Amino acid sequence: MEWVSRDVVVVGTGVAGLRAAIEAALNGLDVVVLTKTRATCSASIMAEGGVNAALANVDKDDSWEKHFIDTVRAGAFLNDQDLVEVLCKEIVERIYELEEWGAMFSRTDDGLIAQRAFGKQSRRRTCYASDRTGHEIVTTLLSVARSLGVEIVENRFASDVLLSDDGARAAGVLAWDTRAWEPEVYRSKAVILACGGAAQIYEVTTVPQEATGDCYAIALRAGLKLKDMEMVQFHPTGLAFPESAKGILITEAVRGEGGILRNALGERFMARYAPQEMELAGRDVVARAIWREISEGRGTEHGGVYLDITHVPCERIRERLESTYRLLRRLGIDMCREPIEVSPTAHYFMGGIEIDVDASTALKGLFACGEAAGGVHGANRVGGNSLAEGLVFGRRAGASASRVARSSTAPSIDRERLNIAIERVRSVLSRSREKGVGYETIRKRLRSVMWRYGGVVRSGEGLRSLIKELESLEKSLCLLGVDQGASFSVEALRALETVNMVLVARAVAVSALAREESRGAHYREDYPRRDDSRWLKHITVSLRGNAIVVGFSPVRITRVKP
Amino acid sequence: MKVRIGVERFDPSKDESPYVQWFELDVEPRSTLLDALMQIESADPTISIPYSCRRGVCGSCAVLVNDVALPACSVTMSTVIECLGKEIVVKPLPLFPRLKDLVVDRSRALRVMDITRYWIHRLEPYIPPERVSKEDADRVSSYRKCSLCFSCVASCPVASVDKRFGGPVALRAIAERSADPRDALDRVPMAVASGLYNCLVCDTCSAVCPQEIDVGSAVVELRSRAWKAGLAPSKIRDALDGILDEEYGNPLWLPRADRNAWIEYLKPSSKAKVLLFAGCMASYVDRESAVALGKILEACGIRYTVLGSDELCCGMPLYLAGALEEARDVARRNTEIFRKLGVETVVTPCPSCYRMFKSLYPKLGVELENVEVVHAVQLVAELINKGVLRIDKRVDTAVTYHDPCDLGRHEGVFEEPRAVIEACAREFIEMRRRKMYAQCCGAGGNVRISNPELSIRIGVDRVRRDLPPGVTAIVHACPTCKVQLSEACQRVGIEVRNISIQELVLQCIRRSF
Ligand SMILES: Cc1cc2nc3c(=O)[nH]c(=O)nc-3n(C[C@H](O)[C@H](O)[C@H](O)COP(=O)(O)OP(=O)(O)OC[C@H]3O[C@@H](n4cnc5c(N)ncnc54)[C@H](O)[C@@H]3O)c2cc1C
Ligand code: SF4
Ligand code: SF4
Ligand code: FES
Repeated sequence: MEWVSRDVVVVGTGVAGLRAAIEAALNGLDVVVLTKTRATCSASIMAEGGVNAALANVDKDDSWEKHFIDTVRAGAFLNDQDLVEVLCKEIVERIYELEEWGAMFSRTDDGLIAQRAFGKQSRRRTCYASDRTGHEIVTTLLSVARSLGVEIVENRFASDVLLSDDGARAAGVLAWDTRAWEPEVYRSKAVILACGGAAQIYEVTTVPQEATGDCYAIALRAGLKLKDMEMVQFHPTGLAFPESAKGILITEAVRGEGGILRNALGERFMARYAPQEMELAGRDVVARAIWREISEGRGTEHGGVYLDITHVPCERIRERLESTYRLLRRLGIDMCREPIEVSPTAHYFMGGIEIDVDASTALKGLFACGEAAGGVHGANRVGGNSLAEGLVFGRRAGASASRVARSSTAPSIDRERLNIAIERVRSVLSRSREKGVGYETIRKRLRSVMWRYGGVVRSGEGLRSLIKELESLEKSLCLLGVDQGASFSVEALRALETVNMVLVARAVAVSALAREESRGAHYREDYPRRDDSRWLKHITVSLRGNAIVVGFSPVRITRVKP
Repeated sequence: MKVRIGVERFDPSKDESPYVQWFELDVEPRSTLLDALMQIESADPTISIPYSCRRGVCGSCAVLVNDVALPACSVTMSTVIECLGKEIVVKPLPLFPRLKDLVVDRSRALRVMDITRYWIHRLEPYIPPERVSKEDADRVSSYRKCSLCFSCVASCPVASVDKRFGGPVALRAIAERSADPRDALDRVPMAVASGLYNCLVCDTCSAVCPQEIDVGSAVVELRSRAWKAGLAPSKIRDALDGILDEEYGNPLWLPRADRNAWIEYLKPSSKAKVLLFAGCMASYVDRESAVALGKILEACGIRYTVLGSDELCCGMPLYLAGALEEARDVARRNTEIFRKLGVETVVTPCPSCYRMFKSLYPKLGVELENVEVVHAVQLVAELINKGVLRIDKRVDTAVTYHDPCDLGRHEGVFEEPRAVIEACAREFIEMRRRKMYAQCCGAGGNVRISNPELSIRIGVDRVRRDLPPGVTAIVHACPTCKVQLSEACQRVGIEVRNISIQELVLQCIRRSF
């Protein structure tokens, strides 16, 4: 077994992980970033719309305070306001810093960073690089990381955080070289978890293959708490066809430019759900309306509804929706001539690992940032705030980790726990798929039941049957097997991810059942109203043995009350 | 639609050598190549297939299909079938170490950032707010949207024979950094050193690129910087001098007086509305192409005029060398000649002249007013279609067709040549890679001038890899491709004829002269 020692280990090459690693490198520390597939595979690189920062380039009266209010309102006051304050204040500096590092944002007529209206915010605040903002930021961060000599190691699947002998500190990461499925111990003074979200637990999703919630599972196994796991954002318009592109995001801008939603009967159904705002109603409202149309049998051939923009002149479409047009054309769909089939799609996890303003977790030496962490977005996320979160808290995690790494020595690793962790993974890798079940059976079932009962519209009854179903899936995990004798295999990676996905799905289902109200992205048919008297609090989950334990924690309300 | 897909499987830990596993699939034409691969993955979950974002940004799904690298999530099966056939073999991307089946270890992809010193090199300290014009920002972004999929490099005909070639991914990175007004590092010498002048400007890279990055323009931009800095290779400078020299007016340094030798066989009229513009290559080297075109026009009773020894190069070599001021100058002179002549239509057997007049003159800011430009095959196809030109007999052999970059990939003319050939030959068999994915003959981008040996190796590569068995001739729509592939065939002893489409047509009509 390979042992590697570094000051800081970062898991994940999204915006959060890269920004954290750069901070540690700028502080002169020896940092390594691990990623389970390739450095360019992340949700971050796929982000389109933009990143919010109150630069006040366009709306001169914008301020961090207004950004704060918009964020907390959208989050239905479930945000931890100390985190939001840091986010809104510091993102301005983070954006300028990106520009200094070479990021090329779109410009205003007088050459400043352009800002647009996005996600129902009160000011034009969203900085963007055409509709490839995430790609622009990741490209910039990767180039800076290269220039600083940051070590980026691909094909490393992190399976567990390792603890110190006394169990009081993080002492490193157990990772697997996926090219040979050999374990490697990355021993370090500080660990940063930045694995992103888990929307792959849903059948229809916008996110990359990698978003399987590994860090949520890692944190649970390390004894940490997750909060707000029931808060999953569904985007109303994901592509329904072709199959390989199912769920991929069709930007809100299509509706913004005049796109109309119709069901299979040709009805402009938004008239029934939001007669005033129609297609431009909030994400949740539109997502639930589409969901209802489809589930009541008025869906299209490929299980969606039609998003029709053919009445808008083609030149305008090609100019304003350039990359969507290009993407669809490459998929054989001409949006100028035919409607697009769309359906709601799982997009973002507001919840995650509990953190403090310095990105620290309850475990000393362990930090979390980005989508892996919870608390910033509350019950719903404003579009453009998650890249911001990754940048701000990525930097904070890097700075905090640097402080810890500078002031301590690497703790020795608890060997017993290490061996247990290795055995857990090996038991999957060493079972043959012929003697057990292949990951695809479990994963497919998981994604389908989560979509049906844990998705856009939930109910107590549905969630209870979901939890039962998930428990039986969890039991079948002990049969999970893979093709034997293969060195590298995607199959083995998918199998290990599936173990994590089942755990994360249970956390979501249990939290969703506990929250007997509707708030933000969480909608309960049986409790359709928000209830601040009972539910203005976080639901937390942790792992005891194999059971998920629900708890509550107060929302950190520091500035504005509901 | 039924397709046969072979997936090359290989597990280094247990297989001795790669083998192909075949799948028969029924695919929707609009579905993607990734759909097909995912169908295969669910039929056999032990196959390792790389993908992540499913929308062309992460760059991980590139695979090699019949020697063309494609980002699987960003290409439809109908395109694959049209350009590569219904039976395809999918292999891993060749540039990286293979891990298993179609998955490669891409760790070294990021090295392109180190090689091009991709991070910004600021001279001035950064003080926000910084101002950058929209135009500059757009230009930088158009090259920056790369997802590092490396489809372009693995599809590039030069990169596949010349290992030192930096390749499209590096060239576009250097072009991007050079276009950034905030970046002070001069990377043009770096571009020259990594083979800037070996690029064919064939745009195969752009055709496969999920972001449709215009590498050809990037190369021309860089060459224009290099031209101004005096970094162009001597052979290029020499050829351009030939064009600019009034005595010659062509890159081949052939006497102006010889330019009208092909006209001896023809009966042009002086005041016709149609101008037959032969171009340098057909005037001097492949005269049969020009003569045959003239004869077809005569057979159809179309009156046409020629410029003879007054004809001037279209300026393409100047454009390709980045001598943009000089190219603009030639464009203006040609436009003026056409105007004075009062012609309404310019027909040319040369795709480069065609593209130059049609698309690149406007790009250089010079408009051909009231003049329609057509390529010979378009005219011939139309004449056949209208019944003006009657095909009386077919040649009794099987033939194939080579898509010239300037006519096909660049100008989208794919169907007309095929329609004409199908009317004229007993059997028409497609090359293995064709249409959007046809490989360049090797003569593009001035490479035949600057690096003839490399150029011909690419021609050889084209015929070796793509020539279908059983054909007796390669039919051409470009005099340069014809000359180039004739040489390539001779070089490796492949016995097929290389003829122009006009010559083929001429064999199939009863001539009244
Ligand atoms: C299509 C789309 C559009 C979006 N648009 C916007 C937008 O316009 N604005 C906005 O603010 N947000 C947007 N988002 C959300 C935003 O992109 C993400 O929430 C954010 O980028 C998350 O960043 P991250 O660094 O936390 O995680 P990610 O970017 O998801 O990165 C996670 C990294 O961790 C790695 N990893 C995961 N598990 C392991 C493991 N076990 N071992 C090793 N490595 C591991 C992954 O490979 C990946 O590199 C969008 C998301 C999507 C999917
Ligand atoms: S234009 Fe052709 S030769 Fe030049 S980089 Fe692209 S594929 Fe290679
Ligand atoms: S230029 Fe295009 S084809 Fe080449 S690596 Fe970048 S995205 Fe891929
Ligand atoms: S899967 Fe990401 S580019 Fe194709």
